[in-house]
Amino acid sequence: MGMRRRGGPTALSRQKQKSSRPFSTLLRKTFTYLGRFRKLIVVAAVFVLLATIFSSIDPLILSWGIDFVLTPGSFFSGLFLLGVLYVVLRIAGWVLNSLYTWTLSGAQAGFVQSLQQDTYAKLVNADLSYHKSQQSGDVTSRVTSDSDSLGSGIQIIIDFASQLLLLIATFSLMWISSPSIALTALVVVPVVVLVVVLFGTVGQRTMLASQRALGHVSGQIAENISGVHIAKAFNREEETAATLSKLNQEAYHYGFKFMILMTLMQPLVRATGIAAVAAVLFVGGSLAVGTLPVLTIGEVFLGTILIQRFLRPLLHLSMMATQFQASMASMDRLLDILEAEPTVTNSPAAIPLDPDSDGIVFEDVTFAYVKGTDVLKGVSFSVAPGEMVAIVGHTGAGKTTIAALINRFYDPQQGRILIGDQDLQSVTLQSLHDTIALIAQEPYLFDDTVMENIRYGRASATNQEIKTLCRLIGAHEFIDVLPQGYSTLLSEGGSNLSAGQVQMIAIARTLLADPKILILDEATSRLDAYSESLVQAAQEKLFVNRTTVVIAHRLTTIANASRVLVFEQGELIEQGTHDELLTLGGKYKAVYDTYYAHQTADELSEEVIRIAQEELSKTHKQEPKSPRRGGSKRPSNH
Amino acid sequence: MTQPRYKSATRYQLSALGRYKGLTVLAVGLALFAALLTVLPGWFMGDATDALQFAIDNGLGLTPTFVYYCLVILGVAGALFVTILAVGYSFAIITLRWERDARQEFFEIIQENSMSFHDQVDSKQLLAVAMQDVRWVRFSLNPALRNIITSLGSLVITSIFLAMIDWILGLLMLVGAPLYLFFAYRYAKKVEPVRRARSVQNEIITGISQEVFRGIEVVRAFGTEEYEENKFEEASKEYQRLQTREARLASFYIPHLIMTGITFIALLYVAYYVLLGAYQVSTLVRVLGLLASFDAFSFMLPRFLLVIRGANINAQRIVELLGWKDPLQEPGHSAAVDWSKDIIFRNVDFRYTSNDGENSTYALRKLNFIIPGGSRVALIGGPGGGKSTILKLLLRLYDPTKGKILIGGVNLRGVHTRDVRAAVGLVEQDIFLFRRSVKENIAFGCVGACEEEIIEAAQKAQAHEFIEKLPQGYDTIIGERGMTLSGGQRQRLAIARTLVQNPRLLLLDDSVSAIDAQTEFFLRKALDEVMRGRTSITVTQRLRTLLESDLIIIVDKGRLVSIGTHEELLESSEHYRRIFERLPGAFRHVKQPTTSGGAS
Repeated sequence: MGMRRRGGPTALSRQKQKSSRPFSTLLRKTFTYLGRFRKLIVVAAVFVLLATIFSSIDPLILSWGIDFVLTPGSFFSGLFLLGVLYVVLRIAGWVLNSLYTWTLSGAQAGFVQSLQQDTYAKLVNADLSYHKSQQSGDVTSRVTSDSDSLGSGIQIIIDFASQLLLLIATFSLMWISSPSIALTALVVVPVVVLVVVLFGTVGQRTMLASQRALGHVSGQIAENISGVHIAKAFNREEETAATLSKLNQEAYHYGFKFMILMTLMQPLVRATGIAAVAAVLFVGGSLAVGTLPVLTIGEVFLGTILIQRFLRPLLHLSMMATQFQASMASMDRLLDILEAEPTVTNSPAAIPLDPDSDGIVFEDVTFAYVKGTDVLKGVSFSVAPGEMVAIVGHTGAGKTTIAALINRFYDPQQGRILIGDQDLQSVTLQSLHDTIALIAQEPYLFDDTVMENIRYGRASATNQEIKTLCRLIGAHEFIDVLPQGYSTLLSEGGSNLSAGQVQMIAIARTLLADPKILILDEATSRLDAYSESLVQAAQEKLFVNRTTVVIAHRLTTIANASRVLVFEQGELIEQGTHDELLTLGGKYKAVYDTYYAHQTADELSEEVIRIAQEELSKTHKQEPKSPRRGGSKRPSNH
Repeated sequence: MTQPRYKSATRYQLSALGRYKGLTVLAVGLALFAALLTVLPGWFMGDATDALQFAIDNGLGLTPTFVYYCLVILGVAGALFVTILAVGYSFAIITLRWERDARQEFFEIIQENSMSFHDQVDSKQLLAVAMQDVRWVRFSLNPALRNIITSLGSLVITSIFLAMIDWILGLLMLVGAPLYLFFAYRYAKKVEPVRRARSVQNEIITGISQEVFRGIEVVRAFGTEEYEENKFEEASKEYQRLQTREARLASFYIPHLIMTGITFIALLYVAYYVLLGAYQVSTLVRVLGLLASFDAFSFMLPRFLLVIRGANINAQRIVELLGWKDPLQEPGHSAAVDWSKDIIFRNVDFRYTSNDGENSTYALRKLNFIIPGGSRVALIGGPGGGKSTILKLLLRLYDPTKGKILIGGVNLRGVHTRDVRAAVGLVEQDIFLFRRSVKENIAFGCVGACEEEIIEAAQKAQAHEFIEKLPQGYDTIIGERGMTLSGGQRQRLAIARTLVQNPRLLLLDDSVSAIDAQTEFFLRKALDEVMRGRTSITVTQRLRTLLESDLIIIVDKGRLVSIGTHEELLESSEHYRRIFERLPGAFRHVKQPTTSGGAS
């Protein structure tokens, strides 16, 4: 559904690999969002910087110790003092480091939580158009992984500062004791550059290839498990295993490459460290001997210790850049959500919907998802309180859009929609949704028990009430024989139930909410004759004394409707009772022949097939304009 | 296929090492050698200092001995590079090959398990085990075990070297090192449950969000945004608490203090003897150098201990799934069946095993009926009434809990599933298509089906025409993320798939999505084709099919309600009449079954 990617309410949905905001903006915004955790984070940073200073000094004590014992006439008490100083420094560093960890963990977790909460709240209230254009998995990762990634971004900034300080302090110390040693230490730089470049290019590429290959394995396993009953039914287990084996081998190939590369990195760094020690020893040694020694043995030793402390932060710092970039990219994606303004909101003067308001009026409504392509064109009709009206038409006629507009998932560009005599845009969303219920074509059930799914209609309902209701609509019988009855846990959105069961539960849920106005997008999945009659009976109970608009797919529904509205390409072209319209022999007759006539027990007549063929070839030329969520088809194991 | 059984999680975890015994011994040996190499520079630093001091004391320049030791350290660096590389290489071979094969083995075993297994275990969980758990077990060997061998090795070697210098230092290490390890282990043990709880909580948060975003329309329609926000807040606050706790456990890490203590005592002790003149300053340098190399692994040790401990739980999960006992047992030798004979259900009870492994309510109860060979049977019943269970039993995806199913007098239990499934064809309700080409999906019905067969089947199934119109015709990729097909098209593909298989008994769940008259017309023709010349059992929505069936079976709540032809049932069954009356346009057939003509 590429058309849902541009401008307007869907601006939120732009998927970006690269940051759209300048780096400085992202950094500034991050600090703004730190909010009440800012102070704690500053305190933590102070702790770690102090700790760094202490720990960069302690090798100095060791070197003094060596020189001290080499000085003739030294006393043990002096040595003891140095020892104590060393311990004090170490313990102070340890305490400060621990305080840093302690303080930062609290602040960081709190920050992540508040970010998660804000993002989640924003998303739950975001325009439906946004959600329709997004995979739920992607949206979820905004809440979970992006906020986590930003949280570690904070730590990276602080670590960066402390590692940089350590690097500078270490280098200064080396420089002070001997510029030659400091310069010798620079021999490690090319190796660090090599490692970073290797990691950034080949490493990155191999890692991606390995992840992709592993993704294929995962995808294949997922598919094979979902289709295991088919593999069994057709005796094809060996073949699926062979297919997997091929992908598995490929993943191994890339995984091996990547691991060897990583394994190369470790000895390279460690061997470099030791080689640098040899180099410093040699340079330091040559400065310590001769007639004019520049260095003491203690200082040579200091050099060998410092070189190790030089290599590690240098490597660390150069690796941090990628991580930091990743967390700023997360911030960028989060800001898209946090700074977006939903287009459908309560107007400042919004009042609750009057309890007496009932009936629906469309006044000259025009609506387009994308500018220039009107999905509804000047539509006017009214539904009297308590009336049941059916909407029919080909795919793309605008049926689903009407349901969405009544629920105020979108606002029309022209005209207005009224409940009773109140304009939808003048009432609060909460009161609107309390009054109107929508049953979607594929009703969504939560991964919870049957009982809780029904209770979603009204949180205060008792178990007894729910059971009584289910008895009333004939759902009790099948719920009772589910593995754990009402406590049966539904998984994967109810994929462990049959289509008929899902529909019955959705009907029960809505009946419990007892809305004054009902919008029903009838399920297109056909049930067997017996189940069909049960669902039909339950639906009829739902319609009684309720203002109802049904996007009809069942013959019985249109036959029972007090009026049928016929839509074509966004326009209302005919309305009347089923019988009236049929006698009229116009557009409705054609639609009826195409979609409903064959639902009877009669033989299909040549005439009907011909009409259906003509009608369908007409509609195939138009693109469907109603929004569809991508990838909502759930694979089922049953 | 042989089914390897793992006696315990630990054995599973270590099975990779057992598979490549020689290489493992070599790798461990090399790892210990690498540990030695990491310690050696500290040792040679002492010698170099000796040489340096000798040069200084005698007013010499750089002595060959000093240069020699510098070169030795350089040589150690080179050797270390090669050794660690070799260790990494061997471990990569051992563990990555194991990971590849373990994943394959896991999949093949669970695939062989009967459907009872797949009902009990969520497919998402199986995928997670195959990918994540197997990976964590591998992590526990490489890098965790590999690094721990090197770390512990260097700890022991350092201690030995220190003891060689002075037995008091050896004693110090003998006391200090276990203390160090004890506290490192204690930390790992403390942090482990918190970490696990955190990752569970993370899954909970992900679950909550994903669900709400998937069902956002329901949330909006019932106006429960605030309720959902509160629910999320509770979960994310708990996550915050656990995250904080886990991170805070790393503060005030005792082993650091112990290290400081050891260094302090060693420094004072050796320096004191240097002052006394018993030791050279080189000894002090050597001791400090040795201790410095030991300092480097600080947090690594507990982190890897954590991975090893954690992976044992992953291994446990895998071993449990692999050890699942299948209630469906294959017969020693498969009985021959004449599938054109009568199908008899005799006192059949069936119940599914629920998620917690407990038996649940009956899906079928005392089911008795006879289906004459070659007849067309329509099966109808309330939602969840047992229709699809009957079909699954006939495919022998399960065996009845009690009673038996006889085909021409042969008990189905005595027939190998392979033979049952070769003879029984299935067109299910939610048509599952693989992410492959149309051709391959149709050919799924028969190994080695050739092009002509495929096209012929597609033509008979009324699918040829629309397939030709697809972008790449028969080579178009369909299924998940492939070309989207309508319900009617999917069903016709499934019919073609079954036609290629040419089964003796056909099971059909004919409950497609709302379709237009044209598609309906095609489908009826396709169904007619596929039912010809074999026994068929159809779960149907089509009233027409009811009229044309030889036999109608009505089941509800797992029990047989009525059985007979349309006319018989209209006469005899109040139940049937009620259902039929409620259906659109059916009433004419109730009064005078022969009428035809205009609608409504």
